[in-house]
Amino acid sequence: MKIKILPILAILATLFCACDKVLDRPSPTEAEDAKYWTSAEKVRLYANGFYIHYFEGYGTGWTHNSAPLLDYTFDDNVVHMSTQGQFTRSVPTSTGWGDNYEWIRKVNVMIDRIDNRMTDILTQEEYGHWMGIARLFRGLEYARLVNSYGDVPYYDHEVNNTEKDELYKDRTPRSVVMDNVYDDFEYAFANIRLNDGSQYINRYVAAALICRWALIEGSWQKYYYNNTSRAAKFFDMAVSCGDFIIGSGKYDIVLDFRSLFSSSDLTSSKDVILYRKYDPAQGVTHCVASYCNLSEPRAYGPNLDLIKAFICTDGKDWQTSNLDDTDDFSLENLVKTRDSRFEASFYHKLIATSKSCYLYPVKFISRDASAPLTIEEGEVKGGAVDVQYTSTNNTNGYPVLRYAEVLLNWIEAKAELETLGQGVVNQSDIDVSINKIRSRPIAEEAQRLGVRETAPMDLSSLPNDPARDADVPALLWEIRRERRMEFVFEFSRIIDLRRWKKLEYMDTDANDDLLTGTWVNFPAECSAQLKSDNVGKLRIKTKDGEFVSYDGTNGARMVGFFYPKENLGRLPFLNVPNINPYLTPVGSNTIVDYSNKGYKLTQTEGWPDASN
Amino acid sequence: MLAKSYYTTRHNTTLLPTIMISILYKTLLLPGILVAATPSMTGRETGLVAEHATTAAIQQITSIRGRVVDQNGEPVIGAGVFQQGTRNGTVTDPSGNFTIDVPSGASLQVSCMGYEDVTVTASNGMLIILKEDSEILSEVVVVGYGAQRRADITGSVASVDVGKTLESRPIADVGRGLQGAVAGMNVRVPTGEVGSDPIIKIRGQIGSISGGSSPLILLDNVEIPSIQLVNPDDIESITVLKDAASAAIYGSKAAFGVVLITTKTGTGGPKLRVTYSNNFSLQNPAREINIGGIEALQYTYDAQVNRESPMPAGGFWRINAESLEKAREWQRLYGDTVAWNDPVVYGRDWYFDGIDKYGYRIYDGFKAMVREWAPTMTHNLSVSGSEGGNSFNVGLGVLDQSGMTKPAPIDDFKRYNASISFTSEVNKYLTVRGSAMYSDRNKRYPGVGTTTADPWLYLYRWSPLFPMGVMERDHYLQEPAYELMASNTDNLRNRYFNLNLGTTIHIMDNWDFQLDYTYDRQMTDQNSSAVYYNAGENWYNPIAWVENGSQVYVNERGEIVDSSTEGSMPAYTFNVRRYLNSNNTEKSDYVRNYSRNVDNNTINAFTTYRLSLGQGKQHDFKFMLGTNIVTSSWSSYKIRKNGLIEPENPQFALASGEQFIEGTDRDWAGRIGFFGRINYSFAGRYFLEANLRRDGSHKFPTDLQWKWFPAFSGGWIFTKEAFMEPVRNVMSFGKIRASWGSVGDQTVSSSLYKSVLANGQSNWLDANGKVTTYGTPSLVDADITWQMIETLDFGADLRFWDDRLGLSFDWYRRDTKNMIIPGESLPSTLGASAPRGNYGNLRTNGWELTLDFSHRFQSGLGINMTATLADATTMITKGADWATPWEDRLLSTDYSTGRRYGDIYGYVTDRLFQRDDFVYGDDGKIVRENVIYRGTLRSTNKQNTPNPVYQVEFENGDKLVCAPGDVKFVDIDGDGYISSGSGTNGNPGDRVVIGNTTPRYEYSLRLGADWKGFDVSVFLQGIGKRKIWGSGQLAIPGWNAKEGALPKTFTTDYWYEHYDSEGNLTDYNYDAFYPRAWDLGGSNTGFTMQTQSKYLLNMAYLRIKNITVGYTLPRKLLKRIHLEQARAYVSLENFFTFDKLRGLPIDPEAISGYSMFSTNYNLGRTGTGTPMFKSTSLGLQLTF
Repeated sequence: MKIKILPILAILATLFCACDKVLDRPSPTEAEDAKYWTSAEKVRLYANGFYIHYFEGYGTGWTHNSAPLLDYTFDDNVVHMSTQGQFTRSVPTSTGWGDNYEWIRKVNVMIDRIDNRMTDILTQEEYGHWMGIARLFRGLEYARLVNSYGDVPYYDHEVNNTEKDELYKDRTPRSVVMDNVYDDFEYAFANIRLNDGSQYINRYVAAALICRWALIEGSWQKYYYNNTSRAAKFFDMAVSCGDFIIGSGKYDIVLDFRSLFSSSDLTSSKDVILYRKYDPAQGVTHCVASYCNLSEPRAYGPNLDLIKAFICTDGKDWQTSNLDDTDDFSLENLVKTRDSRFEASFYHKLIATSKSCYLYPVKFISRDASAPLTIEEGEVKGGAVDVQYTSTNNTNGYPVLRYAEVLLNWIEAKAELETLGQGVVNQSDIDVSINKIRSRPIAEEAQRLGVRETAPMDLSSLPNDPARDADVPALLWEIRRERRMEFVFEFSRIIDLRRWKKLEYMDTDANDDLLTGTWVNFPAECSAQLKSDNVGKLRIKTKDGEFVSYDGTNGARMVGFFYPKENLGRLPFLNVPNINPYLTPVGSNTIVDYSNKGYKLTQTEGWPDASN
Repeated sequence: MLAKSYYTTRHNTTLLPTIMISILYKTLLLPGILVAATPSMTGRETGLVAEHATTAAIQQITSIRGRVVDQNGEPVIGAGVFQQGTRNGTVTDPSGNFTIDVPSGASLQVSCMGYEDVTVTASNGMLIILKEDSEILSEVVVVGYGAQRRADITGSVASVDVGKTLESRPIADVGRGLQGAVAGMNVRVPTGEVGSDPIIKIRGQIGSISGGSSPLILLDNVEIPSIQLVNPDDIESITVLKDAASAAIYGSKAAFGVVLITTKTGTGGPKLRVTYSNNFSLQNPAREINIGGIEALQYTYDAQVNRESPMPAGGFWRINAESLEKAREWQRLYGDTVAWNDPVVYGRDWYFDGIDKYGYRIYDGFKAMVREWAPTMTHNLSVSGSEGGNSFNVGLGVLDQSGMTKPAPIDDFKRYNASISFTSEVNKYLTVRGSAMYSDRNKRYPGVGTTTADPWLYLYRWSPLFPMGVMERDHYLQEPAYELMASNTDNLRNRYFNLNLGTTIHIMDNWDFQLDYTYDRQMTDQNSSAVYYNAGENWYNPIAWVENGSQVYVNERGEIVDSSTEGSMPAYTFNVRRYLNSNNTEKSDYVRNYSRNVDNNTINAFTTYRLSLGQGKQHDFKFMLGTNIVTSSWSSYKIRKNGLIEPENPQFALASGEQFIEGTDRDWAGRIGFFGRINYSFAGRYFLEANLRRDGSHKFPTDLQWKWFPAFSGGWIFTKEAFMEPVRNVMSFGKIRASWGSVGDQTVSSSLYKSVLANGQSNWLDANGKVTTYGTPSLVDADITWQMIETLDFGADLRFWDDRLGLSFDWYRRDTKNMIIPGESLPSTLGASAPRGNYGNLRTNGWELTLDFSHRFQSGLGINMTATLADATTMITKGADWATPWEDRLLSTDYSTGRRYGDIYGYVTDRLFQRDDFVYGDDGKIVRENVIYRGTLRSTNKQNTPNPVYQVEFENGDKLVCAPGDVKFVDIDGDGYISSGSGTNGNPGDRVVIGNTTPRYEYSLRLGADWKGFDVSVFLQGIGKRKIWGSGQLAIPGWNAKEGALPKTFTTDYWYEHYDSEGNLTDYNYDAFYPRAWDLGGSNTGFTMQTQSKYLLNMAYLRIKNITVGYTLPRKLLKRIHLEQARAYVSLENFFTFDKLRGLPIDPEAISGYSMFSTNYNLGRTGTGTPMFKSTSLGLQLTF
């Protein structure tokens, strides 16, 4: 029996000894925070996570949060067939900034690890670059936050879940937040590499971003907070960033307008500072161009107010232009007499698929896309859109930062400084910025349609636009017009209106052009639409403001601005008690939650505290 | 029947190791081995044997021949025939005959599982009739590392009657068969997808929030990845360990119960025993899928009108007043003549106005997509035998099941099983054994390029105007039925094999040692491809129909006419194009392979020592000590290559495009447990058991790696007490028992214990393609430790009237202590969700009741019944917000302290607003008034009552304003507003608990009868109570009216008023169940369709799971054709369902977003998966 027990004991003993080997099995593939921060390359891989967030471009697949055309339909450029988009009219229950703070946490962790775990690992240059990248991202996120909420709780370090007092702290004043952002931006601008390889942030990218956000903050300070010294501080920053980029000579305006948005690879173009590239082989495609394919019916389109804002090719507004017939709003004439960006942004023929206005945005699709289509009498009469312009098959890339924007930011900041009595804008400044953009090449197809280059701006004879607001100097008025033409359906218009404190431009009660479409001569241009199906549906507004609805027999009278009955105005939002359209309220439940825990979160100014 | 397949005596069966038992049973079949084997089983008797042997020696020995039959005269195979009080014995052969050498006049004891023991005086040529033993107390039940007589069990252990539960049923796997089989084990089959696993939970739906809450499934003591891989025909026994006391021996993976499956081993004797069974079934959808037709178009149209949105209504295929009229006319003109699959014709079926397409014809997606009468078959063959000390068993099984997809070239599931086992007794001290098993499951399905949003979604997504299953002229259209048809076949193949080697060493009569080593490998191989389709593009705008360079004109009937003909119109057609579902650029068609291999090594070693002490050896002890070591490693990869050279033959070698490694993974795991158990029983009346296990798991940081788990249980058979003597003729058996145990749970993710940066790829492209990213390090709670599951169980097992009626009851309380849950919700300024920690406690209270009855009448008619009823509710006794005062705890906190798990907060529906609820002005329109709500001025409709209740919280003051036909809620707090309050317990506004998502009161009933070879059984299963707020278009009225697919239930019972062009009311439905048509734009709540009492889905159901009628041929007849047994049966599975879903096409077992491939399947929408099916089947069971 002993003999039998021995082997058993031997087996058991072996098993016991093996315990450590069995249990010591760390994951071979998982990245643990404690062991991750070992090289500059690791920092890069961590930083890669920010790119899609800050440079979304056209989005991916059907997913988009800040894509041109699809996510920027709430401003004074766009008319929606139906009620126009509404401003927030009551305090929501929850607060929308959770996403922003996730990015702030991510970047604060990055700063912490670089500072505390990598000082012996990174060279001084690497340290400066990656710390600069981190502080750039942090500055960007806070800049976005204050742009929405004004004052926001500010954290410059990773906050642990146990630090209740920190987590529940009340808002930090905007000025304090933005002074920190200013410092972050300065550091980033001083330390980020001039070149970190294609598609990675370098000092020019940083400068372009800082230029953008400094201009935005400067304007808020000037117009909303009436704080000229803070305004000057940020305008100065915008100007110096612009100076750096312009002075580098690396960038230029050499592409025609539409090519900027419809090309497949502009990663090394002089017009583009940072580019989001798409590649179907990698499965990275988008859907924005599909909404520009003419075949796709669109409920959103450009309104008459935007059309009227386009400058004429002689450099004057349509009312004071010296060209003939600038009050002839027929599409054919608009194409010939307006700035080349008009033709590049909108299809040159009327088309009923743009349901609210008959003018179809094509800014983000290749000119080739419409080639197979036969378009007559306002309809697509034959041919089909190529597959790559449908669904999520779009492959054109997006210039997430372009030189033209830097030029317009820079000249605006300079002009604003001038109004604050700091420096002057001279003709050479206009020449390197606005006139540089105006002299951009015109596509061959456009030239064939009669599109001509707009005359250069002359500081000494600025247009005297009767539509100009009395409180806006003529130069700034024209700079703002340039922005509007340049950035149609891109990110900036609603941000611009807020920072200029000009949300009244969106008041549909005050300006019927906001709800009006383009000029349509139905019998001449869209006779196919004069059919029994459309009786009672088509409506135009004549130059005299008279409405004519199609009744089946009055086709000849259907000449005027297209204005379907469904185009309805937005609810009042100005001077309404407890509504501040400029800043976003925090949620009522969030405020209650803070107070239940013994803390206070102040409601955004102009909004009521939670009650009821 | 299981019970007849092996033999045991009454008193040999206290705790024996699992595998040993089966071996011993087999070896017992041969008298020669009997002598050697018996002592090791019951040491207590060895003394007796010696005494009798001495007496026997002086008596005359004669050879007695006899036959053992049952009450029907059928031979009883494998019955044990013993000379009373000795080890001298034999077993009956397949004809029931036996021969035994005994002293003349000796008493013979005859016993067989399932029959009552008989003692008779030996006489040659005797016929012994065994009475069927109705009670199951003597049955030996497999428990953790051992076996116990049912009567002696002190934990909460249920054994499944494998014969009744699994045989004669057209089911693909054991899991589906176990539904309703055990009180307290809930099995859910959420989809009709063939090859998918059912969801098994023991005692309540949730035991842990971060962990799996799923039971450990062991096949011969080795964990298996899926219950599907087991061939139901290979199963010898299934035991379910429900409480911690019985499961604790398995350690930290057994926190939520254990399902123990043992496989068959060799039986039958020297003659080979061959059994063959088969089943042929036909599947049909279990419930009608009623999707709205014309009324659905009307609903979509009405929704557009109600929301004051511009016409036309509908997405892709539009609807306006004219087209709706045309659609009605179409039904009148062509409804009877145009077949469902006739081609689409322009002019007749649809119309394009230059901007939008309008449809007139209604298509039948169901006919196009769902396969009816889908065949399935199974075949099983097993061969076993034993001779000398050796026995073997070979099992072979085939399942060939069809899926429900009609257009797909192949949609099926096949499983092949093979198993072999042998046992060899080397000498009286040493037994060796080995087994191998192979399981090959192959699911083949149409490769549409995605498994997360498949064509079934599209069957239920778009309006009936979407052509489905039809062609246009000579080409197909881009629609689900075509794509299913034109796709290659993908497959998901899961192979599993294991090799087991083991030995039992009989160190002494009462001491043995067992060692088993198992190696198993799980291999997953998924092949998929995506090919270009070629079809008419009916999603976008059509193109002009041009033939030979000139425009084609058609008339209203779709006939080609001359352009000058009155009423002719230019015709359009769908642009035929080549496209790919995922990515439409050139060379994007691909072949993909996913492969995953898992290797496991399992060592189980334990030793058992028994001891009897005291006067009459009334004190019985059993000691057991053992170890269990499991190591695993796995790796996987997913690769893709674009550019198929031969699209119909997707091969990596035949692809010319870019290639990608889409993901790889590699990891390993290890677990060690040491365990011990002491059993003590006194006089067969009092039982005590203590278990202790120490577990170590690689998952945890070093300081948390090891943990102790204790468990105790005790029982008292009070009917054995003298004072119970008077009632014993009524209550023949009675036992009460109690148990407590604590088990740690290691099913939680190891990332909870360390801060990890998630690795991924960004869609930001640099010069080399997608860039690699690492995410924000996860927040980890500093004090995190194990979560423990404790179960307290009180039970009683009672039997009445000669054990004919049995009742078993359990009450339990399961506490999850230190449960890992998300921390208290913190302000979003944290920038991360609060890390999980041991902040929670969960308490599940439940009870289980099982009733069984069987009786055989003098006439030979036998009846039997088994019924179960179980319920469990779970309370969150401590949640992350425990420190927050009750009134400040948020309703939105999932696991809020004091809340019952699954509670749904919502508004209480009063009724629908009607016309006279509002005040009308002179213009006939409802008068508007302003109210101030939460500090904001709101414009709303003026109500015709002195005490209006405003619902402005759901309104926007513009078009979203409550009007006739909208839902009116009950103003619970009486403040004149329907509001969500501040979302806390203290101020919930008008929200109260309106239902619970937990399945409650699960019940089952099995009724059976047999008479003269005929048998019939009916099995019912149901859930008494369960409610959910659904998701998606099938569950929420108006969820996305624009997309258009709406269940008929909604479209025929919603509130509407229809007017003619002059504005006269022509039709109305004021008594509707559902509110006026609305378009929620793809949201599950919105406007007045808030989570509310009236529109919760009531998921309670009763299913007649199975009805079987069988006939066993008489043996006399069979003998002539050399058959031992033959039975034929007809079986109906899942045939009748009774539910309260008002005819919605949702199966009451459905779980929103659940599928075998994805946790957000078909966008998480309720009921949008493969339809559940019912089967009609025929089968045959033969034994040679």
